[in-house]
Amino acid sequence: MNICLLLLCWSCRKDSAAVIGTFNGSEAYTAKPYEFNVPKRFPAPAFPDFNRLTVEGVYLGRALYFDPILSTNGRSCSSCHNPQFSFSSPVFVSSSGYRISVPPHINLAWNPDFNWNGSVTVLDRLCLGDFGPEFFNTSMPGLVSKLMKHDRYPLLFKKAFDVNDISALSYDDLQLKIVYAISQFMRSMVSGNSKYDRYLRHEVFLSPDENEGMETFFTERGDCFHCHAYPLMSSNTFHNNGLDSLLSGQNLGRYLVSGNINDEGKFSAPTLRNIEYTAPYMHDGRFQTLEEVVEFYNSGVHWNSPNIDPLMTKPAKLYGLGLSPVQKSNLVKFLRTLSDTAFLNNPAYKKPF
Amino acid sequence: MKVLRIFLFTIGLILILFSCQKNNQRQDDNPAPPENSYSALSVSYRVDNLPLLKDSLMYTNAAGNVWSLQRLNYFLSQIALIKADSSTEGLLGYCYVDGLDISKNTFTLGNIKPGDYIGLSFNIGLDSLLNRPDALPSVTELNNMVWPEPMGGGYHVLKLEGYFRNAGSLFGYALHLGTNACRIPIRLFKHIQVKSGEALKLNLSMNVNEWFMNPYQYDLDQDGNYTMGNAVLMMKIAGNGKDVFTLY
Repeated sequence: MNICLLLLCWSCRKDSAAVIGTFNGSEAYTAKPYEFNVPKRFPAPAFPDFNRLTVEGVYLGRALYFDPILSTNGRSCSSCHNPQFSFSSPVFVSSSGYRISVPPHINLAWNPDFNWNGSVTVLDRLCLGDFGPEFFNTSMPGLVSKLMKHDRYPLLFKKAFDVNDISALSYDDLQLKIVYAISQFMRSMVSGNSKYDRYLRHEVFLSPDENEGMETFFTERGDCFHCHAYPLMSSNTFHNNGLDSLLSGQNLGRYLVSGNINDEGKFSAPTLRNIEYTAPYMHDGRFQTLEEVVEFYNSGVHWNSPNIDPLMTKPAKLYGLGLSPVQKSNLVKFLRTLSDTAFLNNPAYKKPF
Repeated sequence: MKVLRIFLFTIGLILILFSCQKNNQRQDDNPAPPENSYSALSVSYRVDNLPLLKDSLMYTNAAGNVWSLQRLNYFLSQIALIKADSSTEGLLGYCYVDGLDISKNTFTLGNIKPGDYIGLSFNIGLDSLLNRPDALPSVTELNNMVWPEPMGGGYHVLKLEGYFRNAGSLFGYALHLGTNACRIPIRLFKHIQVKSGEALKLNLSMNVNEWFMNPYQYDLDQDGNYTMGNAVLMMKIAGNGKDVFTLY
């Protein structure tokens, strides 16, 4: 028993030494597992075995997320995923001229796919395309040089991935490690403390107007809940909500990924968490305000849109929900209870240096 | 001090040896129980004599509606074998079924006592103990089945959605059932012999067209293409649900 105790003490001492040890270029370093707190009533997130969250990996990802060091044009991830807009931003216009409403980085740990049409199914691959000319226009030799000369990154890479020499990595491997770190940071960004969450935890009351808006949201009056189920406020599935009667280009949505004509016009149902901060709305940012969105569902749905979700074609509501001005206003007020300022202001999601 | 260490070590060793011996003794005293049988439940689908295919506008119901299917989600609960004396042998508390996802149509029921049974009983929909807010684990596919609290709470019994043709145009339909009143108790009778140590596989087949007939002919155009929140329509569909399954 004593021998065991002694061995335990030695092993603990060795771990501690590794944790506090400074990078000397060769000593092995094992990153510490990141403690991921799942908010009450949330599903368990699925983390890939090949990129487990670590304290050091999340920190490196956070540093890189805000750092224009990855680009040759001054851009960083946060240029398009601005914390002020719930890690989103107003419309991005692609080089081919398509307007894309930038998806927010919020609760991505629970997303089964990414981008409006679900073109990427693994978060740890999502950012690989960002090194290209359209976003970062990264010069890999230049990036290696900048990282090597930086006073922090060599140590951060060492701690996150036990990389002794950044310049010894292939460009592909370096990009992958950068993307893995950023993915770890994005997975760590959790919102579960909106006013509505707190209401469900019996910590606050909703106002009468918000309460009526909630009734509209969670009953057939508004029928929002089928595609925006609690707690993720998304069904994590694809729907055509009747934006257009004729579909072409990017408006074909999921079809562009699956090639299935039954997927034409379908898009991933976005989370409504922090929806207040992520204007403009819909995949192409065609609506500027939540009031416009509600009005669309109230009176503007194209019921003859191909593959329109069956949920959108209720009897007597083919031409809209028929909400009164007060009901529409209260529905917007309820949507604002999904805002989580604690998420926006969380120091763990801010630029670290 | 050294003598004390050796003494403690020896005591520890003796205790470990005794504990091992005790375990072995316990096993010897209790011979293995009769071997139970592994069992599984599998659900398949058809539309009368046609195979069920997603998004295929080729089925005709009793009312003459030409329809297709886009979603088919439901719960089965209190799955049990029925004994000759009408008592039941429970197999599984509940399972979530996605009719269009083959991986969500086979369920391990666990071990079952050998013997003769006269049939299978279960509910379509959750039993009342589970059909309440937050009763099930928080999993996205289950959260998507939540029946909102302002409408009674719990979970959907059934989501049956797709499209139907009417006067040359295509319309959606969404037949949703919820609340305990719409739970559908099913009893299917067939002699089932469970032999010791042998696997038992129970096969259910759902004829989706049965949701539209017997005893109530349901016309998507005349009766309505959306049931959620409409008690009359929900009870009509729930009434038709008693015959949708066969056991083979």
